[in-house]
Amino acid sequence: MNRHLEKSSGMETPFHRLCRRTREISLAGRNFYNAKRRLISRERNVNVQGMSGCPGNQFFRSIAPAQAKGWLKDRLTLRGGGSEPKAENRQSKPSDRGEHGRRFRFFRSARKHGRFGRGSVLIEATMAMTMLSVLGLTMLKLSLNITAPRQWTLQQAITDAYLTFEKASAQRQTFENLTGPDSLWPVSPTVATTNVVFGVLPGGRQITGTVTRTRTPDANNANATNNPAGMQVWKLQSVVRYTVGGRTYLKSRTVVRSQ
Amino acid sequence: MKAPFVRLSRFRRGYTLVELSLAMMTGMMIAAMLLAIFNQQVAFLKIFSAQSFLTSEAPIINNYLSKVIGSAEGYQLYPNMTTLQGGGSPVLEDAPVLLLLFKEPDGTSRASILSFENPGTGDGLYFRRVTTNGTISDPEWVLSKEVDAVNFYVQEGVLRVRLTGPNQEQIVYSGAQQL
Repeated sequence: MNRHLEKSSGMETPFHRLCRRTREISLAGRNFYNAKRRLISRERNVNVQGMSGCPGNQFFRSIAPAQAKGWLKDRLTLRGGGSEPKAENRQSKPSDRGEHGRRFRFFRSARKHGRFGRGSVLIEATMAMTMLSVLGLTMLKLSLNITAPRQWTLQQAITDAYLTFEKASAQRQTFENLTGPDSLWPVSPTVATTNVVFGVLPGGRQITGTVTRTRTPDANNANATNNPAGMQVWKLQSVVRYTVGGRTYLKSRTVVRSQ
Repeated sequence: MKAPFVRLSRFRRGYTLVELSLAMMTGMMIAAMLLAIFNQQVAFLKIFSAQSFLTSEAPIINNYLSKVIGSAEGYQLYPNMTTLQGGGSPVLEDAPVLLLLFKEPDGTSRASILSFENPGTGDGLYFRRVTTNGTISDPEWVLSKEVDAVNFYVQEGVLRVRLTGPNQEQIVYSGAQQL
């Protein structure tokens, strides 16, 4: 049986397929039909120190249980390096390292390639996770970019609605009340500031702010030449102040009332 | 003898436990992130839906009220339709029923009613017409069914209407000078 293994690996493997061939040979240890290949042989002396004794090594590195590490080399060099394969392998140099010496070099490089291939999975997985994270954060930012202006728009709509009251109230007040001592719009520079609730956002959060009112006389109110009838004209100004996202906004409505 | 040996070797090649674990963990993490993104989009959709009353429905109601009330000659507020139909007294606050009076070109008057009620077709702001003989018609059409409450009231001589949305949001519009 061992002879068959040596022969098949030495005779029929093309040079460019050495990598795969050696891998196939290494996998031969898992051939359940031939238990002797993967078990410690009791018929011959084997290099026991070279065994991958750790069960984890046997499991993770695809080494069959109780398989000697380097068993292939032992068999091919020490015992298998006889005269029979030498004649068939014409590319290899006749040397004391045996006919399969070149193959061992490729065997090692193949194993390194295998390790690199497996390690690249980690890199690919990391790259995929990173790309997905960036995609998720981008989508979150885009969603926030849409949500934030809507919040601003909501407060604009509610405060605009409140200003309709300021305008209607300024138009509705009698002139006596407007110019009286208890006027809601005191004469500038005096101002009257009150806290108001503009509205309520979804969820019940109130939008609050302040409204500042003042009135300024027209320049011709006290001008007897241009205004002989003494008609009073006042500008009523209401300024609304509210805060959204740390920024303070001001809106105003001005109504001109004439006597 | 060699061919089946090679085939068997190829068949027996597989992934190690580490590779499978990595693949499963990666898949689970991707699935979890996709689920989080999906939940986030659903949350944003809910937020947009909750805000739609203030951004779209309330301005439409206000636009209509401003045009209709602005062209009316006068108004009266009632606490409910029963009081109005029974000839009860009008009120100045917390009134879901608004009676509007219009002057016709021939000098006659007509009236119409805006009332927040449930006439059997669900809560909403309905329009009723008062016929020439004084009877109140059934609701002819509904202005909005998304609104949760409508309250008309008078403050400092100004007609105001408080619209309450389905998520308890509130916005207050105020009438014009002549009202």
